[in-house]
Amino acid sequence: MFAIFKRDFCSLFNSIIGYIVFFVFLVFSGLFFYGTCLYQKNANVTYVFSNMCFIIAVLIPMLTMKTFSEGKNQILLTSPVSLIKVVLGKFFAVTIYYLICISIFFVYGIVIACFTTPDWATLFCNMLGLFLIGSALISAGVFISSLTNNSVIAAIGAIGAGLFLFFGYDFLINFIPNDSIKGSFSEASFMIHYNNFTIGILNLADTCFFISVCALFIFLTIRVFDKRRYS
Amino acid sequence: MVEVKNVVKRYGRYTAVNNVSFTAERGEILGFLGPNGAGKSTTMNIMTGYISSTSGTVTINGHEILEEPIETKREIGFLPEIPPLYGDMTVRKYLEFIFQLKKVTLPKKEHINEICEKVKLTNVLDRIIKNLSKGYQQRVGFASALIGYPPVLIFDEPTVGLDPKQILEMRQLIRSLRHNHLVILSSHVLSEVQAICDRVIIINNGRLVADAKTDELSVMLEGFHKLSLEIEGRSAEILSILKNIDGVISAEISISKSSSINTYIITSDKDTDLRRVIFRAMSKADKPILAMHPAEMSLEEAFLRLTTTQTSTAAKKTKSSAKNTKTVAEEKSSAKKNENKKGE
Repeated sequence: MFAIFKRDFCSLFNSIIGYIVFFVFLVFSGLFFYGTCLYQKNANVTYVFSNMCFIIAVLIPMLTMKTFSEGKNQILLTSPVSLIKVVLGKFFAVTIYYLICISIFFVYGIVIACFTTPDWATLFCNMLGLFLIGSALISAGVFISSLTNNSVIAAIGAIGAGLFLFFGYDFLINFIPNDSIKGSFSEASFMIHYNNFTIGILNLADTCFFISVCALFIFLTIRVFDKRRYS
Repeated sequence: MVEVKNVVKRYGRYTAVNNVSFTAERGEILGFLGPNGAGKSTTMNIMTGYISSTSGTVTINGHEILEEPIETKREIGFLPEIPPLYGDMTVRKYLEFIFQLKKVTLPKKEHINEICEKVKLTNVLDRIIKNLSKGYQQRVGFASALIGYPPVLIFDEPTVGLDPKQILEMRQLIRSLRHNHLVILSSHVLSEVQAICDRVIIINNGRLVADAKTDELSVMLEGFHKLSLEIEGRSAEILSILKNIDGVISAEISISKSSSINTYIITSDKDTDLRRVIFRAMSKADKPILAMHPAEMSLEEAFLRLTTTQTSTAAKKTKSSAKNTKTVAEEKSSAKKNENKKGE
């Protein structure tokens, strides 16, 4: 698993894509930070993080599109490595890269500290929330890339899935007239769980929700390859 | 060591591999021979656990591929038809990755260097794979299959994309591996299989058509004795002389080098040796024989005979197309002979 993790992680830095994603992430996070915090003389980072959702919905598919769609699966699937290790290795490679992207918010915390005392707890809670929702999207992206050999299709599919899970789903459940049914559907909403993090509520249920989503998509990815072997 | 038993692979209605069974032991070089789309790669992919079979079993060193996939895969080094290389890595990094992936316990640096020396990769070790030529990329794939020295080596068309010199080197390398490994390779290049393999398995339309030792196979199929003659003189005259010789079943021109020099193929009974008779007849007619040698049935002809008989017995409808393929292939075989001649 470590070999696959290392290869995929390094390949993000060997190719231009890793740098471009990092650059775009920094530009937009900086822009939101300037617009909602520095310019407005506000130490509340909530808006920065709720806006970042739009950005990661587009950026993460760029990282996951190539995980299984490069046509290089043959080498992994004929090597003496179990499927779960292959999938986890690839998943963690993107997740750790994403974690590095997010760590920039720590710097923004320091910038706030230059002017006033930052609310470190809320900031870390937000970072954790963004990390968890991003990881869930990574697992979905990895799953989608396992379904196709074409990385463009994998990218578009993952962007579609991301936008639906983040925004489309909540839009749809608004049309449910029955409140109790609407309530139970909203339990599966990414945004409702994520919004708790942005206002600084660290809640076990929300954390478990995103971890479960990751586990579900990793499981489905494994099944995709398992199916090839036992068809 | 390797046992493939009644393997069937169906894609919907299409049967890619139909009841293929064979066994192979260490120290052997086994060649899979068949036209494109015969099911060679599919069989190899099933053997390496990349795809599943619809039914049948593959056992390698006592491990069943579906029951114990990891143990089985540890026994195999696989070079797919298109080597799945990561273009953004250097050769060294890629081989180190494969080394870790296969969990090899040998000393890493020495092992990789040793393999690179074997496949002549040492001078490109620090170059990025995507910048290498096809021949070198093929070698990197080859090296990755060799890492850990697995007892069973499976190469899918190992010499595709290599230049003639590289092909010879590759063949030498494969032959040198036979002592400690079982090598299974596929090819549609008949001379290659003839040059490298000890045993040939011929697959056509997903079926195993023949399984024999390379030299046995052509003997097995030989019903007639053929002589190849290069004679100077007018072809019509020569043909009439040849056809009048007792024991000649047929005589025909195979290659025309110039207007006066032609190569003739003479078919006779297996037991009759016509060389002296022909020599005297030609000498009497003042037609100098420039070359005379037995035209043994090449693997290509053997292959064609086996596959075309199969097709013609399978369905009458395909008879005409089988004839077509035969003529095309006959042309090919004569062209090949032509090349061989030029080489000589």
